[in-house]
Amino acid sequence: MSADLTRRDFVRTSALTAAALAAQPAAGTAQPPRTELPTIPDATWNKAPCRFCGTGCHVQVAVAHGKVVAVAGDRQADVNKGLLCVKGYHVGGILYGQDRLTTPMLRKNGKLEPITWDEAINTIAQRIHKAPDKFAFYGSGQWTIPEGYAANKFMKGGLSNNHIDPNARLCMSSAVTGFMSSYGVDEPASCYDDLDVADVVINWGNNPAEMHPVLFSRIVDRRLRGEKVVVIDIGTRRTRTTEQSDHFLLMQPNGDLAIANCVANQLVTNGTYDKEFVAKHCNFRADGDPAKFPAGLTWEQFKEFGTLNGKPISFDDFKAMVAPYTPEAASKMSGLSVEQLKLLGDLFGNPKLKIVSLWCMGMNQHTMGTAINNLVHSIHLLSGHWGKPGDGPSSLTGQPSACGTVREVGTLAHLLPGGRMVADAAHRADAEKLWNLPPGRINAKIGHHTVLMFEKFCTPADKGGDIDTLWVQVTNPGQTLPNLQKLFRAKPADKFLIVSDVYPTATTELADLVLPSALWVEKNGAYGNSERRTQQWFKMVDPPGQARDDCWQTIAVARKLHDLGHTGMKDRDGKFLFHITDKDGKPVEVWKWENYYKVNVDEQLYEEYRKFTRMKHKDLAPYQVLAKARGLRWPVVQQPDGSWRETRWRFVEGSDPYVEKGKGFQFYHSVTKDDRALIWFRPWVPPPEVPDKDYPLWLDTGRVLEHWHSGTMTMRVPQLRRAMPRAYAEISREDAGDIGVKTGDLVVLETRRGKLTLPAWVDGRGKCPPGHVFVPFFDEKLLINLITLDAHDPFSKQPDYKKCAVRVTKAGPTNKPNFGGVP
Amino acid sequence: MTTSGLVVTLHPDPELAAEAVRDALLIGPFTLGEQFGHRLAMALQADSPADAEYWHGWLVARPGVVQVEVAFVHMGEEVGHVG
Repeated sequence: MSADLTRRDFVRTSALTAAALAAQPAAGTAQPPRTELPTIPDATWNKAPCRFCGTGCHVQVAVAHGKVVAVAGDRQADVNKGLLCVKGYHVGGILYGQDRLTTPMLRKNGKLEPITWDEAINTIAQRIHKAPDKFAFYGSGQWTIPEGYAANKFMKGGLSNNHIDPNARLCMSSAVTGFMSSYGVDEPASCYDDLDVADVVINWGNNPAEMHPVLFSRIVDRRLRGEKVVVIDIGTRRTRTTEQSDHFLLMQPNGDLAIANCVANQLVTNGTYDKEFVAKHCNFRADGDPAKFPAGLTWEQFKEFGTLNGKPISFDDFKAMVAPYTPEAASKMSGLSVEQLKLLGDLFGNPKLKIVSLWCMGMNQHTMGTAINNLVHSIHLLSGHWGKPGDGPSSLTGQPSACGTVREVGTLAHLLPGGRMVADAAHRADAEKLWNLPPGRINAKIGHHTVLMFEKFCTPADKGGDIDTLWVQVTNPGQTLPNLQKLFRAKPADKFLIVSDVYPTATTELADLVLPSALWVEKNGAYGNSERRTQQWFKMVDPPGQARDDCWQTIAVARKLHDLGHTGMKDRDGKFLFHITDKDGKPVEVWKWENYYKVNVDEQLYEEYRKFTRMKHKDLAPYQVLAKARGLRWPVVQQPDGSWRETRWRFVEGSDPYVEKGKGFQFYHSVTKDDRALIWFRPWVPPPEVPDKDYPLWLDTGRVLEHWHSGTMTMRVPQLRRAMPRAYAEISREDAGDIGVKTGDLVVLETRRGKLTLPAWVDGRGKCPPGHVFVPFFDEKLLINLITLDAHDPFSKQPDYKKCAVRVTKAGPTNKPNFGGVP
Repeated sequence: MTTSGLVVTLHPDPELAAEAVRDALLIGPFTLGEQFGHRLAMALQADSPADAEYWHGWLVARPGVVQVEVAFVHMGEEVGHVG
């Protein structure tokens, strides 16, 4: 037998063993999971969270000879129990694309040319030093927790500048405002364990079969084992989730507002709401008296009188407000049948069922995003389907640390770490104390949110464009902002764009300075997933060429500013803002790259940040505890025996350590300061732009299974690129017939913002109903966001990528009709 | 050479499931592992990433297969930055 054959057999046996171990627990074995890893010659294994979505799967990464050579699902991880989706399968491959950025580059005479790191850092520092208030930092839900913390401290604590906002503004800020205005504090109270025991799972404009497949497989697996789990898909197009659902409820855009109000109407009218839970734990809220709403209320009018926190109303007021949302009336607003609306009303009215609502972009990327988040929380609260295992509302996130780095670290323009607000003097004072800053250092004025930040950057200074230098880290706004022509491509020549990334992107195309970054296990890191789980990993391989950690880049610029005399880069004792020490307490010059990994900078930043988390009952576990765990869900509180206990269900006695004994449920951050959650009435309004005779169809955008967001990483993995190489316009058979196109023909999509030519996919992987077109946004060569609408929710400032009006015409045949398994 | 360990969730219809397993063994570069209820461990070993992609897609498309998840992937010997 040849050595090669022996090796091949050996690896195959390893693969079979790993698969058998992963297959085992879901079959119902009572044995604890076996955790041995495949043996690969010369390789060492270490844990890390997957780099992609917000599910937070853990992988085991095998490294040999300085390279990642294998990846396995981590069987010790509760989240994924040894399984990965097809993207996780290829997560090792994202490090090794052909065109990794490996050297800093400055644009000279229109061309990016290599420069040294010293030149790059000095260039940034000089720009900021010249006009610190005209500088903005645009970050990411893919920032690690220490990266985001360092950037936040640099901006708010160092530059007294709150113009820092992340790409998560585009994906989950409506969930944030929804939680804040319902419970007085952000982030889900529930957890993934709910999926293992729920009787009913309702997906609100959500496609977990493709976007969170490992979570969805929990439900599919239960059904195949004979458990009764009813899956309901409420959406505007059929997806792979629909295929596994018992009921598909096809709604009109914005129909979700009417659906939720109709469920509330039925609960109240039928007397099936949970009277005891509501009486003990809830108050009611609305934006005002609907009797005074203008006839035919529009979104523009709603923006005039709607507020984030509303006004108190009585139960009788609430009853009157939802009264118009009878099944018959809501049917006309939502597109659902009366029977479908009654089905939902009956489910929520049944106290014996356990119901989980899941949502993600469909509810968040919505000009009424806060409102629909409020309403889904409200029908759970009103019906008492809240806070029990398998029974509650649960939002999902699209990025690995949208929760950990954005919502918890507070990298949004209005936040401070630990869920504190820049507009609150006491919160600023607390942060100044923890950062040892002179009083008043933190600016009280909320910074520019994402859309405004890019508007200001793309507007000439003499016309009010007050941002002249913008640093983008770990994200690709040149592809993902809405209405790109206005918000990105209009950048004036005298403005300066800095981009830190791992590959060339649509954003680096316009950059004046490009910095090569380390990726995933090329650096230390920590993420926080959708269920409040904080996860940690260690650096395993070196980044290529001169690529360096984003966190180091921020600290190096801060130090250069310190050396240039910027007083904000010192604390009140004159120490550098990022005062990192060795184990003996001696300062380490970590702004010099050669020193950066002589100490664990991540650990020191994380432990500094952890003090903030205790201020709002979001206590994180110590770094060294996390290093041994597969993530822990906050609040994590130390027990009398010294161990650290995580929390599965917040605000629930027996689970959440901050709920007082005998309370049952306690919303201890409640808006009304009485430990009660808010049940909201928010009105149904039509979207701001609806089809008309000139633009007769709806345009919806989103993601596909193979690619993660803008495709920067997944398009570098040959298998994923080949599986889905280009964007397409998914169109119904009826509309295709009207326009005279077949699959593969080119169609022109035209909106009020511009036009784009794409191949058509008739009745594609998903299926749009007549009158709707869907286009994925992963393809940097077919930028659908050139034509999307930049209207955004009035409270969360999150744009609506899911609905605008479009005209579709035939352009001609294409030479390349293949876009992912299409004949 | 790309090698992956897959967890294949089989269709509840035993005939469809059996057909999928039989086809995988007879036609594809698959090796069967242990089965636990509807979940079957398989190894997929292909000479190139393109072959692996083809057979992965082929397996997913079997009527007797509900879903395919990944437990392990060995990226081969030639890992590294290219170009």
